[in-house]
Amino acid sequence: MKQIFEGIFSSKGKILTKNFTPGKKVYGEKLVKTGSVEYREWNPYRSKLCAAIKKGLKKLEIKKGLNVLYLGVAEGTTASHLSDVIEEKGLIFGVDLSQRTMKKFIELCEDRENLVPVLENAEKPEKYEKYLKNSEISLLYQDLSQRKQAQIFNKNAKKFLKKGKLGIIAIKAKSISSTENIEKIFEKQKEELKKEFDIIECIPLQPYEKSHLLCVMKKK
Amino acid sequence: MAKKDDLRRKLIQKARKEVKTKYVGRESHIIRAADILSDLDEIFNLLYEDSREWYGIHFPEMDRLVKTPEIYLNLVNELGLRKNFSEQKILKYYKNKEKAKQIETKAKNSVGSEIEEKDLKKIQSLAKQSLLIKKEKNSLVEYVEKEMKKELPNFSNLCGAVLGAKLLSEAGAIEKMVKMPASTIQVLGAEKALFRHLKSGAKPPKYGLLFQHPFVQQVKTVNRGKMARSLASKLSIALKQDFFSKKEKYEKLLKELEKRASELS
Ligand SMILES: C[S@@+](CC[C@H](N)C(=O)[O-])C[C@H]1O[C@@H](n2cnc3c(N)ncnc32)[C@H](O)[C@@H]1O
Repeated sequence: MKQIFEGIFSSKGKILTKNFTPGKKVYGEKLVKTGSVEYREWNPYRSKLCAAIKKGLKKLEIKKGLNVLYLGVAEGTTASHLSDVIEEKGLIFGVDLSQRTMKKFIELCEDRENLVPVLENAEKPEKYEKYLKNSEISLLYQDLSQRKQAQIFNKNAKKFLKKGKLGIIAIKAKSISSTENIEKIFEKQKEELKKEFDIIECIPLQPYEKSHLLCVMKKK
Repeated sequence: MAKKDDLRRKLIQKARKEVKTKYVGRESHIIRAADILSDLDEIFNLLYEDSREWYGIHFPEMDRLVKTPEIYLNLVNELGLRKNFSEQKILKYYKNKEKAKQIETKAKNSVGSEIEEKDLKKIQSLAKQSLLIKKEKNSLVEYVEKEMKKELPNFSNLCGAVLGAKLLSEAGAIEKMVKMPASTIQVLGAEKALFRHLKSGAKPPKYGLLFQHPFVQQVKTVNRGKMARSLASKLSIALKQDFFSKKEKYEKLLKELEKRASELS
């Protein structure tokens, strides 16, 4: 068991996080015990952040106690691993507008005391602003299958991220436009993001995800 | 710490309430109803068959004269024994003079056996139950039509509410169906054939539930696949219209489909 980032481990080619709720699985992942500590395997085909780690992401500054704003949390697959990392002192606000997935995420929130559900549209941060006013956000994470993903990300960053804080976005080429060529789409999105961020690195996610790019950035 | 927990409890409560009321969807009710419609059809057909079989002991000739289930059941239920089958009385439930006359004649000369009052009562009770099930089904159809027109007006107008609800049931959720490529909508309900195709290279299915659509039925048999494809692509557009505004603007799509259907007929 080798630690690659704080709270994130690697062993025999698998990425793992320490299970914040020992004995419980979230999405059918394998539980692995070493000594008295239980880890959850993180599936790169189910989580874009894990795919990026597998593809050699160099830097990932997340750690215990951070507050995270997660846009497009869905059923909480990725969020559950972030929840493992930030532990009980941290907090993740999981925003999603799909009632169907939100139902599952609420159950996960009941199990994990560092997760909070927010059933809102990420394009309208003013709707959930009031819940975040006492929590300084250190990481803005976004994975929306949406046009205007970069604009939505910037809008939220302006409201909630202070200078120097971390932004991570999974960009999906297809949902922006299916005809433009993929490289061009990525370039355009990066241009947009550069208005608010300094880009640290961007990683294409194949073979785990088609036409996806994950960018790690610092707020300007 | 306490503050954080308070906030968390509050937001969990709020989200729970919202998924229950604001969002939880009318669609779950529509899907239930669509599935039950198929069950009711099946139950009705079974009971109807049973009633005919049983009543046929007494009046076997009626089987060939009355083909509409509701009329048959009403006649059994209201008139009972053969001897009550006068043209006058028959006409109350079967508004067809010629047929009524025929039935009267056949009733008089029937080769069926006499039955006892207690047997007839049982047969009639069965007929009554079947009619009630039919009624329940019809009112459920009305319900589905109303709800579908509210939730997915453009889609329902192109597809027909009941068929649309069955597609929705196959898809599982409106959101999922909205995101489906037209090619998937085209074969919804043909999962078995699709699976066979993927697994063993059998011919891919050309349509699933869309086979039931009047336009697909109307065109030449060889053109059904093509018609299903056009239909699916318009349905996919209609779904997006519904998802984003629900304003009725299906007219143009419908005109295009009508045109396509007449080209393929
Ligand atoms: C690809 S999924 C996210 C998967 C998730 N991040 C994970 O790895 O576990 C995209 C999600 O974004 C949500 N979404 C799309 N547009 C949105 C918006 N404008 N506001 C909030 N959520 C949105 C969808 O409902 C969907 O659940």
